[in-house]
Amino acid sequence: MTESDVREAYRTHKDAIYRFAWRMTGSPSAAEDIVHDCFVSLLRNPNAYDPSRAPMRPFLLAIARNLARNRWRTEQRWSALDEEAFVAEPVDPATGQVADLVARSVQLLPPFQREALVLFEYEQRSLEEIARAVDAEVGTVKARLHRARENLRRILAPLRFSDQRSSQTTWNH
Amino acid sequence: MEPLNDDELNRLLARWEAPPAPSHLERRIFGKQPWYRWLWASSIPVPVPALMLLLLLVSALVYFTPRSKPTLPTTVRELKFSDFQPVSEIKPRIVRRNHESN
Repeated sequence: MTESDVREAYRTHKDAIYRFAWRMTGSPSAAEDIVHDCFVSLLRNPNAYDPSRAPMRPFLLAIARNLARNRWRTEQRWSALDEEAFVAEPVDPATGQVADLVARSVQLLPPFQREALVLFEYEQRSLEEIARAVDAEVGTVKARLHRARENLRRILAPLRFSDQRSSQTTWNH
Repeated sequence: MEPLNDDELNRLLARWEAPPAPSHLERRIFGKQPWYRWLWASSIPVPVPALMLLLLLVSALVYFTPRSKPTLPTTVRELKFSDFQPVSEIKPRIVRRNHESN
């Protein structure tokens, strides 16, 4: 890959990678750092990408996912990445707007569940693509996604009727 | 409270929208920066044990470095009585304080 190829890849995939990093970290500056590091690593080592193995988007998402995971490990090294027994309290609808409450609830999920949910629900990746990106079996990804959705069903249950009341969405900066 | 069903959950998840990548990011990634910018714009992550070891080494170095002592001339010429000569011309100079007038 030449630098212009990397530029082209940046223009095509930057928003998807940024959105993924933003949803994984909950922080605009952390998301910027992840996108930056992702493309700089590709600029420094353009031969790391092999088009015969995977399309560009899953390849970049896998890099971004590893960067987000490393960041998470540095910040919260004593917490487990995938807690099967994770239980969170239902949200209080009075504490924010629906979009903010959804954002907060997704942020509460253990990272492996969160990445499966974000890649599947928001980036429309298939289970096979997610499994490749996170280096896990398809069955494992399916189980993480199932646990994530089950947790969110309970956490977001108090918002059942907020859904019809307001249609405003906000960005959780 | 009864958990949400699939449709309800999907509708709520769709409410959380993410912003696009900021425009300045492209410049940050592909812009060529002068080398000296590294001096004030970069950081080096140093593991705490390594930092402690470094501080310990510097402290030990400072503590154990021998202080420079005043050097004495290696050869001291012996003075003889004949070396002392009377002053050939005395020029006394009177120094007064500023507020005193002559």
